[in-house]
Amino acid sequence: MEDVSCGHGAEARGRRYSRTLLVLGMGVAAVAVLSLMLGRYPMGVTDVLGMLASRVVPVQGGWSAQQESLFFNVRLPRVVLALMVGCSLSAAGAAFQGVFQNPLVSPDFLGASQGAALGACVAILFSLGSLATSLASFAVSMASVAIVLAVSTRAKGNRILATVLAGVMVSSLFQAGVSYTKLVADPNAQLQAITFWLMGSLTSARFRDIALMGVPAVVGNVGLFVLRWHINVLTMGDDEALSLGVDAQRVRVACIFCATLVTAACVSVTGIIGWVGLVVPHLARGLVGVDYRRLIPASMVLGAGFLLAVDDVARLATTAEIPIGILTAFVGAPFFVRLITRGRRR
Amino acid sequence: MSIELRDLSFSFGNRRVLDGLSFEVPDGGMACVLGPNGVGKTTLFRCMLGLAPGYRGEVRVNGHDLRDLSVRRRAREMAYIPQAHVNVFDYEAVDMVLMACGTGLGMLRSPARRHEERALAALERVGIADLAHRSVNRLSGGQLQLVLVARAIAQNSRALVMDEPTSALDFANADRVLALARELAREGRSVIVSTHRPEQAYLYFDQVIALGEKGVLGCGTPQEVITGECMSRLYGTDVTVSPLFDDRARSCVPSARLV
Repeated sequence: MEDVSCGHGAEARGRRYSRTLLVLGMGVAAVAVLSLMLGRYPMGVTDVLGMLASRVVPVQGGWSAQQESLFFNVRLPRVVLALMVGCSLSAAGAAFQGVFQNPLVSPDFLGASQGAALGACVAILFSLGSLATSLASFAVSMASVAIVLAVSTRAKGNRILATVLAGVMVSSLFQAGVSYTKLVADPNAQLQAITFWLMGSLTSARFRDIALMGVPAVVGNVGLFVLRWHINVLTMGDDEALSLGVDAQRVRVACIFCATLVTAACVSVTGIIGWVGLVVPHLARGLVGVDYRRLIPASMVLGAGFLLAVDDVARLATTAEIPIGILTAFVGAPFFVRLITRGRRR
Repeated sequence: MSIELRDLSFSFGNRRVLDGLSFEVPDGGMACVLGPNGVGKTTLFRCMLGLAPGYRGEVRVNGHDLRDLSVRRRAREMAYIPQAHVNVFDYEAVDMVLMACGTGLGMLRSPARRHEERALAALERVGIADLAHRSVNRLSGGQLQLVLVARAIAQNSRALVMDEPTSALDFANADRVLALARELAREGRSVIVSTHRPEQAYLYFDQVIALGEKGVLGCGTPQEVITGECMSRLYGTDVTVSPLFDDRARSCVPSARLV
């Protein structure tokens, strides 16, 4: 970060932030249009924009009914889902890192992903269909974090440490449950579905899923957005936050609830997509600084663009699609190593 | 009557740390808590701030029982400068000061321009307005302590509690911080500070509370408390206290070193 020591530092900082956010937003819009054009059946930029506009104003275009069906049923839902998931996981990750005063935390830190996985696996085991699988996964994911919070409030001593330990406990318990469902699943049908679900993918994007899971995702994101300044105060530690007039436990529970809502909503539709929630907030810090008033919006925009770009690689790099969870790990793991070794040198 | 403790006791499990403490610090008073390591100075401050709710006895702040006050109300009455501040994230100094706005803001709101102006004014007040946009990890220990004092000023509370504010500071910075605390007391706030240096207690404070293993050993003006007898009893080693400059300062030296 540059050092601004002049009297107009605040305004300069505000202008720099607005500019950064504007550039990011335009970048994301550009990637979105590009993603809509690219695919096995490429479309022209005028067709893409024309089809988008045709839903609002009557536009006559030269596209076929087949193209229109492909665009609205496959490509557009997938792009919208990628934007939503990237935005949500990044905002949740940034919030968790502040709430736990630990920059190496990701949004599924309290067992949200493992809970979602168990819910989905059990639903697949009973052959319940995609909608029921999403719902079961969402419900168990929320329940797992509720268990963690219930355990931590009953624990003695350091609340944050207790929450972390309870999260580790619930995660590994649910992971054992997932392993068990794999063991008893029919290897010809269910096991494949489970394995594919666990790797995470945006292939199954349908507007129905997006509409259903969009509600908790939007609620949670709005919650994190309005709470964002108070996350700053939480990073000071409970004693200081309390003496500054902020009820630390209440803000923390509110943040965890919102972050879990968005994580559960995303993971229940897409399967486990790791690393985004860890990596993107750090990239965003490099751009706008550590203040959560700027960090949360920047993480949302950057995360949306990042996941969309990674998903484009996932579906376009090879003829057979690569599950996106694998790709994000390829990007995320080296980044994580850089992050912890850089911290050591300081 | 600003801060008033009546028969305050606190235990960690079976180990009693504070036992039947009573004293008062008036508005505009500048009080110092002296005591050996582990005697419970930090615990005493945590009780006074409502951070250790399991205490027995009574703490009254500006006439209100501490237990009746909400978190937000408590922060309006008292600001706190902790002993060890750890920065996980590298905030700019002004953003750190801005965190004192929590007392006036609802949970869903963020500070507005007038809050930023209040934060900048507080930094100006402690004389480091030029560091407003410097990140806190690049400040020296003395500058960081001044940022925390600025945060307490921006909080605009009626009392100020500082836990060993000078333990990591050099001579000049320690003077700067304590002189500033004294100015804040003169404006009508009550200030309570803990320190390990009896000379400081004599030089800057109106009231000294000597906190020993068995409770308050002495409470009164520095002239009454900073004496050879009281300091020797307090620290469990012979201390020679000598007046300097017509008794405007006193030196305290472990006697064994004088032979």
